Amino acid sequence: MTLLEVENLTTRIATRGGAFNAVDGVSFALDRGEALGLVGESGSGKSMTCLSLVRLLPKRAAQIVDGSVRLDGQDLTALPERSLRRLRGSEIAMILQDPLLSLNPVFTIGSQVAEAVRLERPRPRRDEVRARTIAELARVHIPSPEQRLGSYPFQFSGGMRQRVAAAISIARGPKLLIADEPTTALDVTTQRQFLDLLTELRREDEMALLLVTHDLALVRETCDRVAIMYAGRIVEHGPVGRVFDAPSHPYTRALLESIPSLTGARRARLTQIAGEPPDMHELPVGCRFAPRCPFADERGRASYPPSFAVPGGGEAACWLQGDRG
Amino acid sequence: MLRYLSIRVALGLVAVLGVTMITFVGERTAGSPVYLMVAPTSTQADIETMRHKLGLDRPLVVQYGIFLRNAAQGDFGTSLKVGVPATQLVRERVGATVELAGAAFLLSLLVGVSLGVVAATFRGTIVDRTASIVGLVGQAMPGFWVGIMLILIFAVKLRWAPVAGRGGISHLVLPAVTLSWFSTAAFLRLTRSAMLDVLESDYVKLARLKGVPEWLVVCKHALRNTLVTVTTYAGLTIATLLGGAVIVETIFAWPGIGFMLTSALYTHDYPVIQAGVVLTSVAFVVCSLVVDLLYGVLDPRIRHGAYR
Amino acid sequence: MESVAVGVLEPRRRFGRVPWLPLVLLAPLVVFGIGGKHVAPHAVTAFNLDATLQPPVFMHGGAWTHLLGSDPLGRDTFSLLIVGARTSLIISVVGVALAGAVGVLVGVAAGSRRGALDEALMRIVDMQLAVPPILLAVLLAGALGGGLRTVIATIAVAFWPTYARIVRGETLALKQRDFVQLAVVAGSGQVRIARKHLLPNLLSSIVVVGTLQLGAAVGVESALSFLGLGVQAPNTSWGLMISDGKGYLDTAWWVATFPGVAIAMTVLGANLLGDWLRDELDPTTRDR
Repeated sequence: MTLLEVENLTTRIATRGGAFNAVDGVSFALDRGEALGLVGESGSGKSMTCLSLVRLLPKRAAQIVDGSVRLDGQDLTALPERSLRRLRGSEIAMILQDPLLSLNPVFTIGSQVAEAVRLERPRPRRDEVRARTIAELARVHIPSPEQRLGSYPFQFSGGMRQRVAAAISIARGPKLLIADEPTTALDVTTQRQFLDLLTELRREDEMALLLVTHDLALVRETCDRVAIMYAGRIVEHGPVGRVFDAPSHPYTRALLESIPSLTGARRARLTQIAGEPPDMHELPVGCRFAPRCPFADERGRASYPPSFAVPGGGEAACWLQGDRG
Repeated sequence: MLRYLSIRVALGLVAVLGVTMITFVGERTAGSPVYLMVAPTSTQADIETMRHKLGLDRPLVVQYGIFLRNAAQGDFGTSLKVGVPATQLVRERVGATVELAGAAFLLSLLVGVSLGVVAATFRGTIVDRTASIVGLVGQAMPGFWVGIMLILIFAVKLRWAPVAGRGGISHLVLPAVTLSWFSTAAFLRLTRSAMLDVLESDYVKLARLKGVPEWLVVCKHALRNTLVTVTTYAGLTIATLLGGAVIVETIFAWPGIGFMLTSALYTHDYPVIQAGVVLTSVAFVVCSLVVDLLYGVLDPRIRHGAYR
Repeated sequence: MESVAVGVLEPRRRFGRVPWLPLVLLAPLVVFGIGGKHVAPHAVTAFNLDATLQPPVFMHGGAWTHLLGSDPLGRDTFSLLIVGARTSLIISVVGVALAGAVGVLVGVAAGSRRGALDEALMRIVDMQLAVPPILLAVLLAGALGGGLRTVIATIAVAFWPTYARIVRGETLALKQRDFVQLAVVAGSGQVRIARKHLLPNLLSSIVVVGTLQLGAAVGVESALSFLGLGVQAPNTSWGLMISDGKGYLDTAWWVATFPGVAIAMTVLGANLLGDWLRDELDPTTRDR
C-alpha cells in the first residue's frame, strides 16, 4: 500500500552566489511500513528533500517550485499551513541529526515529551499525559523513566538524547518517520543500538521510515530499499539487496567501493572517488556525475540520461544501463 | 557556582575601591573647595586655618586611610557645602534615583524586548524594518538631547507634562522615557538578533515538527532561550542607566543621587562625591550579581555546572 | 631567518556595495571638521547683539544670513555647528586613537604572552569595565577640570579597555594559526611576530572597533560638554550648544535642536559605517 508518493519534487534555494535547485525533480515512493534509505554526500540535496516533505524550509531562502508530495493521496505541497501543521507529529515525524541541538536545552525532557503527548487529539487528561510520557520514554528504553522526567538534555548521553528525540517524534504514532542522519553524532555502538530501536518501533506500529544518511552500511542493515542521490537528483534506486550486490550507476559503484572492507585483500588501497561534487551554480550539461565517472562517454557528457529499469528491481539514470537493458 | 559568585563579589569590591581611590586622588589634586568656602576677603592665614580644619593639609595617604576607616563605618563626612552628613544627603535622595532608574529599566525592558520579538517574528516585513530603524536611530541620538527635545515638545509646546522636578506620574514620564531611550533601542536590537538566532535553531525546528502551533513556538520555546541572552545584557543596562541617571537628573532637576553628584562635582564637595561614587559603584556590583543569579535560574546548564 | 610569507588570512574581499548612507551622514562632519572656522559664514566670536535669537531661514522672521538662526548672543547657529564639528572631530579622533594605541598594546601583550601579565592586565580591564563609562567620564572630567585636553584624556581612559579585550581575544585566536606557529618555530622574536603577523590581521578588528568608538566618543564628549565638564567657552562644542540652548526652549528652540541632530547624524553614520566595515572585512559574520 503506497503511503508516500513524491513526484518531480523541485526545491529552489537562494544563496549569496545565486539561486539553484537543491532538489531537482526527485521522485520516489514509500509503502506503508517500508524503510527507504536516501543516500548521498553532503550537498546532494537529501536534507533539503526531507525539509521539503514537511515544508519546513527556511522561509526566505528556499521554496518548493514544482512537483507534488502525496501522503495517503493528499498533496502536502498544496495544503494550507494550518492543515499541514496538524499532520506534523501526528502523521509525519522527523528526527534531526544532533540531539544536543534538537532538544531544547532549557526545558526538562519530561516536559518536552509531554508537550508532544498533549498535542494528541482528543486532548488527554493531565494524569494521562504523565502516564503516557513515562510510557513513551520506556518504549525507547530509557531506564527508570519516572525518575528522569525532571532531567535536562545535557544530563543525558548522546545515545539517550537521540532516544528521547525519537520518543518525542513517535509519541502520536505517525505513519511516516523521517530520520535525517540520526546516527551521525553518535559513536558506532550507539548507532547500532539506535537503529535497532528504530526497526523495533517500526515493527510495532507499521511505521514507514525514510532514513537519510551518507553511510551505506547503515542502509543495508535497516532498509528495504535504497535511493542514491547526487547533485539534487536520484541517480539509482532499488531493493537493498540488488543495489548492494549489483550496483548499476557508476556513482553507486564508487560509493560501495570506497567502503573499507574487513574481508578484502590486506593491502588493498582505500579507494576514493576522484574529483568533487559539482558546483550547484554551474552544473554540467548532461550527466552530473560525468566529470568524475570512469566510464563517461560522449552521450553522458552531452545530455542527462533518463532512468532505465535495472533487472532485479529499481532504476538507474545512466546511458550505460540503457545499453545493457 | 558559589565559587564563581564569590570571585565576582571580590572583583566588584576591588573595582569599587579602585574607583574611590581614583576619585579621591583626582579630587584632591584638582580644585580645592576651600576657596569656595571662605569669604573673598580672607587672608592666607584664614585659608590655612580652613584647610587644617578640613584636614586637607595632611598627606594624601593619611587622608585616604581616614576616609576608608570612616567609610567602613558608614561615615562619609559632612558635606562641605550644605553642612549635613553626606550619608544623610544620600539617604534622602536614593529613593528618587531608584524610582527613576527602576521606571526606566522596566520601560526599556518591556518595550525593547517586545519590539525585538515582534521584529524577529515578522522578519523582513515593514514592521521589522521600522523597528530596526527606530533602534538604530535611537541609539545614535544623545540621551540628554532626547530629554531636551521631549521637554520642548511635551512640556513647552504641548504642555502635557511639567518641565522639571519630582512629583506624580506626570513628572516621572519624561525623565523615565529619556533615561530608557538608549536601553530600549539596545534591547530591541539585541532581542531581535538573539531571537533570529534562536528561531533558526534545531530545537525550534523540532518543536515545529512536533506540530506545536507557531505562536506557542515563539512564545514558549524561542522566547525562553532568547531571554537567557537578554538577561546578560540587562546587567549591562543597569550600568548604562546608572550613568545616564546622572545626566537625566541634571536636566530635569530630579532630586536624586546623580543630581547630587554633579552639583558636588562643581563645588568640589568631597564627602558628597565620595558617598555618591561609592554608592553607585556598589549598586552596580550588586545589580550585576543579581543578574548573574538570574542567569543561573534561566539556564539550567549553569545551575548544574555544565559549563566549566 | 624566516622564509614564510606574511600570512594574511583571507584574500582581500572586494568591497561590494558602497555604503552611501553612512558616508552621506559623516560627510558634513569631516568636511566641516577639517574646514573649521574657515568654512563658516560668520565668525563665532562675532557677537551681534542686533540679531539675537533670530529664527532659522525656513521660519517666519528668518533670513538667509542666519541659515539656522542665531543664539542668545547673536552668534550664527550654522557657524557654531561648523566649528563644533571641528571640536568633535579632533576630540574623537585623537581620543580614540590614544585609546586604540594603549588598548592594542595591552591586548597584544596580554594575548601573546599570557601568564601573570595577562591575568594582571585583564583584571585591570575588568575592574575598569565594572564602572559605568559615563560615570567614569563624569568623575574624571570633574576631577581634572574641564577643557579640551581633559576630554581627550577621559575618552582615552574610558575606551581603551574595550580595545584591549577585543584585541586580546583576537590575538589568542590568531596565535593558534599555522603561520604564527611556523614563525615561532622558525625562531622569530615576539615583537617581530607581533608586528609582521599579528597586527595586519588585527587591523580589520581595530578599524571596525575604532569606527564604532568614534561615534561613541562624540556622544560622550557632547554629554560632558553639556554638563559643563567638557569643552568650555570660548570654545564651541555641540554639547555646549545644547546646554546654552536649553534655557531658551520656548523662545529659540533651534539653538538646542540642531546640534543634537548633528550629533545623531554623526553617531548613526559612524555606527552604520562600522557595521558595514565589519560585514565586509570579517567574512564569518552573517549580516542580518
